[in-house]
Amino acid sequence: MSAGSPPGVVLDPWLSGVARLVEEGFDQLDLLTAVDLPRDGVIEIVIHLVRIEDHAHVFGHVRLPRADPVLESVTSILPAAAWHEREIHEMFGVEISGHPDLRPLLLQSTSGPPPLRKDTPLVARVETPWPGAVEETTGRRSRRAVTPPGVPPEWLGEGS
Amino acid sequence: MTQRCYAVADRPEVRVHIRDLGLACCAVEFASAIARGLLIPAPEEPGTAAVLVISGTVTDALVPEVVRAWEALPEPKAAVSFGACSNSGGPYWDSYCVTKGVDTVIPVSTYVPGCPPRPEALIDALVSLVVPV
Amino acid sequence: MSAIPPRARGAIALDASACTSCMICVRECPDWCIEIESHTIEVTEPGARRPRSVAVLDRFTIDWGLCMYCGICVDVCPFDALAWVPQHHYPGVVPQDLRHGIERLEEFDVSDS
Ligand code: SF4
Ligand code: SF4
Repeated sequence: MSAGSPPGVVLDPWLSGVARLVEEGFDQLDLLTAVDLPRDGVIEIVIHLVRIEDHAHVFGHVRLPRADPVLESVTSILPAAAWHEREIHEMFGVEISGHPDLRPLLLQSTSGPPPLRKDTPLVARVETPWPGAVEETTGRRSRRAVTPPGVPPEWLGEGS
Repeated sequence: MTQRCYAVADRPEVRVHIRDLGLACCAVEFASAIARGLLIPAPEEPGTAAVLVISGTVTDALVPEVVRAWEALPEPKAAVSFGACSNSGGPYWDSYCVTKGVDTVIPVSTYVPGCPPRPEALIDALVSLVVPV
Repeated sequence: MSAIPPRARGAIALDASACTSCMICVRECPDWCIEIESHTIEVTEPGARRPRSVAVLDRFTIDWGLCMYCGICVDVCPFDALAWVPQHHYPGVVPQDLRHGIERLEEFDVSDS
């Protein structure tokens, strides 16, 4: 199932779109994050901005190609976005152009694939033998292909 | 992180210096042990054994802090792994950022099962540490 | 001090005689913490034409160090072989102590709940 567009406005191009909302008074950054939508081939960036005077709020979003996602940094207009953008960078593998400091924020190591991409293997699930692969009638390890839940065949590679 | 001397309400002779490393929701059960009077504050006495209770999810990012807290504790000391997360990773056994058991980084004397364990299970663990069966 | 409520989810007791080794709980457990080994034997009942295959449970292990007490295994078991009990006192000195086999899982007292 591919997710429909979230509520709110499409901000494409991103930086000028966000700038326009900020000019309209939506200058309180509440949330800035990403959603990986592999079936649509996109990373969706979502921002939630609040206008303090009248408690109005707005969602904005933009879709970036999954293969080569580049997001313009909005830190020039919303300095508070800096940590959120660093997080999007390390967790989703999105390049952030014009960011002043892209050091890893939370990850201990950024050498592996970005952990919040949905096709990033969960190593423990691949390495742990699934107890459910045992045949119920014989008690032996099944020769039928019983795949453990949450482990797409791609993670197991060819030959298994 | 709090560090205080406590006595077990039912077994006042069991007195330990507890440092709770409350990393996630299991820490609420630890607090409940105090709130319900299962553990009562006791005066400091020299030579009281120190117990580090790891209650919650140990993430790889927090490992250095856990090790530091353990090393800072004076001897004699013991570590209690309280709950599934610190026992093995628990519900986060497949996570990219959760340590698969606090015993991979510090020596653990007692593993308390539960997700979360009951406050009474903490008391049982403390008693079993101090009073060898 | 209040007593532990009888519906507390302290541990899961196994009734090995009710378990058919169907593996449903093993496959549904989100933490992969149940292990089962079994074999089949042929049983000929008086009057039956053909012998019947019956599963014999050799090993049933729950790793309490990993279990998240979600109760999915209790809910999915079609034979009511698993049941919640309020007992909570089974800390381990080594992680292996928290791996309970048939014997210990049957010891949990279902009459408590
Ligand atoms: S309670 Fe949940 S985690 Fe524990 S054995 Fe049952 S299904 Fe697995
Ligand atoms: S679901 Fe029930 S009958 Fe089937 S293997 Fe598990 S405990 Fe046994």
